[in-house]
Amino acid sequence: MIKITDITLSCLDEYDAPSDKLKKLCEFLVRMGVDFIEMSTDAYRKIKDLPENGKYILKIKNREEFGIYAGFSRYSCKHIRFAASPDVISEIQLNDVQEIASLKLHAAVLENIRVVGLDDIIGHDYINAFNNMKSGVCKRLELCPENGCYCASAIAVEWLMQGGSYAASSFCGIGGKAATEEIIMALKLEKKYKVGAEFPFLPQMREVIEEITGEKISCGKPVVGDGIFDVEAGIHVDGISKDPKIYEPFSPEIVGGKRKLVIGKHSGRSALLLKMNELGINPKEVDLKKLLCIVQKASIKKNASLSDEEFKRICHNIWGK
Amino acid sequence: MKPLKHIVDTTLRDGEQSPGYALSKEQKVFIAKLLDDAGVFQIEAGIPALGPYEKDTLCEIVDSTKNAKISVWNRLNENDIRHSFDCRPDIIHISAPVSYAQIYTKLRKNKAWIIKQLSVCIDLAKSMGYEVTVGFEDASRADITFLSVLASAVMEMGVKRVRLADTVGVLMPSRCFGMVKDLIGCTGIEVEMHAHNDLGMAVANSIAAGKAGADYIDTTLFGIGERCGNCDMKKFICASEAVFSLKISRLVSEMLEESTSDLLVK
Repeated sequence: MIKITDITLSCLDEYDAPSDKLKKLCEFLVRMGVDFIEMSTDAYRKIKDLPENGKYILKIKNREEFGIYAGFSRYSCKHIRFAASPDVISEIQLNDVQEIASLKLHAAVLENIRVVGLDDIIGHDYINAFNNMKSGVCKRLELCPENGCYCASAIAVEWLMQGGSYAASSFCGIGGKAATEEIIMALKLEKKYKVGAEFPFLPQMREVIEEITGEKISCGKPVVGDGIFDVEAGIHVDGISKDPKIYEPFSPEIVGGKRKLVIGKHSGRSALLLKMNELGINPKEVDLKKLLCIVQKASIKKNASLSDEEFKRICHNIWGK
Repeated sequence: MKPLKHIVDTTLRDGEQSPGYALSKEQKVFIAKLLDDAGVFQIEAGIPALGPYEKDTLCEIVDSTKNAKISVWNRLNENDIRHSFDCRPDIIHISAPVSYAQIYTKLRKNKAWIIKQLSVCIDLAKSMGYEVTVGFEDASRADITFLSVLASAVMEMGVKRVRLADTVGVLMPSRCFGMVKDLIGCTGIEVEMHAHNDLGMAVANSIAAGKAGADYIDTTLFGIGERCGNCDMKKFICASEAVFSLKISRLVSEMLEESTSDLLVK
């Protein structure tokens, strides 16, 4: 059975996030349905009352904190010497595939291990490496791949698809980890996890993260980018008008997105007609070839696609209001 | 010894056709020259059927580059191919829809029509002496048996290389590896991987394809492309230079990004 731990709330300490934003983020993570939500002690102090229905893990720095913050179902910690308690997940950093052999030594004394790192494992025989990890015989082995080689989400998904049960990740991959939303969506498409689930709140979740970090998430960010359902190229517009599945991996509605027809240099004639219809522009006779030529020139001059207002202006200049 | 992989850059075709981009002739030629100087094996420079402006641009790219092979993208029809002749490229790339959704829903045709039409288009391009590569559009959602049949068919038509396009970005590395391995195993054809990043796996899938025997990897600068983009050149090089021999170093890919960021970063 697949279990995903989201560790976003233990990756945000450097941003001095306000408590209401952290609480909101925590509520979204509960709605997302991740199996465990991990947070730092700093985040926990700010959130105070944790939303119901979540299962929480507290990331602690030392043995003292283990005593101070009672009541969590699990704790995670980098210092493994005191972590032999079954409640504590011991984080072990592996920077190289060769280091996987050392896991057996840890597994002999630890029940819960989280392997962090293995950024470049995709370039190696990772299926064999995963099998070696699983044969280490610890009770709970979680993989938290890091994104130094831009493959963290793929590594996490492969780990879970190859029989691993536990993976840890963060929303939008914050902190250099795998991206929770990418893992969930990949597994959902494979019908392995959250099969019937929808996530219409993802755009709001993205905004909360943007407010906390002060950084805009790229409009092309997989799953949550606000431009991932924009379409301009003639061949794509034609395909999507026949059936969106032709050029979309999943429906925008599943992730709270919206399809948007953009007019620009690469538009085709059918796209112009669709956009005119969308904007209520209905001239008696339409010279699409001429319109396409004007649109292309305007778009190249602007060095970008046209806004709906700019397109309207072009149409009005040709046919009047 | 690390296996050699060739970079096929499609910034000026698949990258530029994504919403938000509208490069002028001068800008496209500028980027093509940089890619050429950097050691890119092949530059997919655009789509001749877009019109006279694009064709002028492509002609100038052909005349301004010295090292890279210049390829142009075509739909599966003769008119597109004829437009390409006007641009005198090194390679004519013909994109053939191969999934059920693409063949039956988009084109409203059938598999037999695809094979017949490929034969017509390839013959036309070959008759003018062009090297032809064929793209299997939406290959990741297609039947591997059909891909093998098609690959064998185009090999008989004189095509040496096919592009496997993960058009909607739904592959994961193990499936990508299997698909490439199976196709090469069944047919012996050369494979070019074209990955999209809808699930954040374009770099990983491109590495998996390379490990399975794909000798050509499609990339774009900054990973620009439809929806979530294509395989990012710099990221691919950073992630795979320990595994593959590449003609472009990490440093050069960084310099390419520095030189083009004004044009390509929105």
